[in-house]
Amino acid sequence: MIFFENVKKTYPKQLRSQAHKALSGISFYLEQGTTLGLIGPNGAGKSTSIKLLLDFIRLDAGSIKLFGESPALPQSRKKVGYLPEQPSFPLNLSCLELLYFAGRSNGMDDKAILVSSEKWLKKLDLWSFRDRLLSGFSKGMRQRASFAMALIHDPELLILDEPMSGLDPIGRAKIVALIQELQQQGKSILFCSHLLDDVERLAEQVVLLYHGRVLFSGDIRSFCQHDERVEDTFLRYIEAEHV
Amino acid sequence: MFNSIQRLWPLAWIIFLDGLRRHAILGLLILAFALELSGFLFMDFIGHDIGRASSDFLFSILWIVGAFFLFFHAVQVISWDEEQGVIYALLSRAISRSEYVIGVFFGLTLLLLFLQLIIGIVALISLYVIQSQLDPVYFPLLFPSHFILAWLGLFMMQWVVLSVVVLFSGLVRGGFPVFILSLSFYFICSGLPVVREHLLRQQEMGIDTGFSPQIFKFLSALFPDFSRLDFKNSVVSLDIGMDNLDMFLNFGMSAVYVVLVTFLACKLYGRRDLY
Repeated sequence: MIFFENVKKTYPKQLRSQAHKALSGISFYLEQGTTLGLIGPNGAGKSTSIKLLLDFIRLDAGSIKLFGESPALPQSRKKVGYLPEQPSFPLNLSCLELLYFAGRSNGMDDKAILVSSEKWLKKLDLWSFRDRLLSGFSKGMRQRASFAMALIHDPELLILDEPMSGLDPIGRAKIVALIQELQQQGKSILFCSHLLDDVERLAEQVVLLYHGRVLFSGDIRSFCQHDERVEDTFLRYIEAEHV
Repeated sequence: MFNSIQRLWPLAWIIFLDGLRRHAILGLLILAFALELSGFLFMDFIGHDIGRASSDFLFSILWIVGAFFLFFHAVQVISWDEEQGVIYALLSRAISRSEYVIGVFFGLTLLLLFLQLIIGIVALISLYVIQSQLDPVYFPLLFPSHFILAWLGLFMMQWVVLSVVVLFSGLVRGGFPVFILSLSFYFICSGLPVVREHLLRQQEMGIDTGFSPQIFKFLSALFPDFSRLDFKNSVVSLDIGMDNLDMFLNFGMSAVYVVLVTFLACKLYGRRDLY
């Protein structure tokens, strides 16, 4: 589903910043029906990887495939649901209008959009707010609306960028339960998170990035040797880099 | 093509809805209505040629509303999307960069059309009301067909500027640089015919200006002459001041200009990294 081979990316020099090497030849793969946690400290290259995967930025070298196609082709994103770190959408729209856009841009008809909107908005406790403008939503509500937008077209692959960021414990538990339900439905999930407890709970595969390099890529059980917690192993890898 | 339009339309629609619900746009609409109403009072201070003065005044309001919309709202739409991360939510769908640019352009066109239509209809009604209150000596002629032509000319001018705004939005980051570039474009378009006339007159007098007419032809292709689309004087006159073929050519060339600029905007935006 996702093929990331020897990808290099350097952000060019800007007016007030130097050129910055974000990824120096990283590779990882996501197979169908698996959940991959992309972890690493700030500046490791997690967001850059996601931006490359969705064609927001262009790679310098290497190869990226999404469902066997280049991410530059819009149809490669048809089966992808993306949850950005900061839920951002035009705020002068209602939740239903936003979902109408999301569904239509993925080729759904009006009836299918309405059925799917009702299903996801009810599941995410937003159905009673469906006609209210998004500008009046709290951060947690916006995050849930963003989730509904990612799920409305029943994608095969979900790319979640910090899905639990800024949520209260109740909201977090609900999102974790939702991700687990999607896993049971056989969805493939790529998510990056700073919350390593969530990674431990949800991911089957882990890719640890550090300064644009892959420090570890593989099964989460082989990542956490000797029954260590993900957080301890993470710190051990990072400290080893500093020595 | 059909699939592309199916994806473009929802994007254009949310750009339209989001813009329409902004307080600034609603305020602009209220300001336009207030100015149009004030026109009735303003006419009391005009002694002669009230029809022309009224028409000029109402078309000035139409132009001001369009200019405010273009230079204070349209210039910011793409940079808002980028700064607030909305672009990521939009482009993560099955929408190409070109479709995004065209969708934004169509959405803004719809919004501009909506504003200009409402204000234009009120302006035409106002002209009829003013005419009905006056002795025919002061306001003898009013041609609705000429009014529509003048309205179309004004809309076409603003549509050209809108396409350039979208081009600059894809070329540079941030609303302010887009505002400066778009305003400069407008000033050059407005000023170029004056400079051309002045230099041609000097050349007729035998003064070597160092400019060949070819340079002006080239510059006019880059910076369209908006006076060719200005028909507001014809609203209260029998003559529209241009033959039909010229008029058709001017509208046609402006439409081609918009298509070419939008095509260029798509190409440029497609090459850009969205950090």
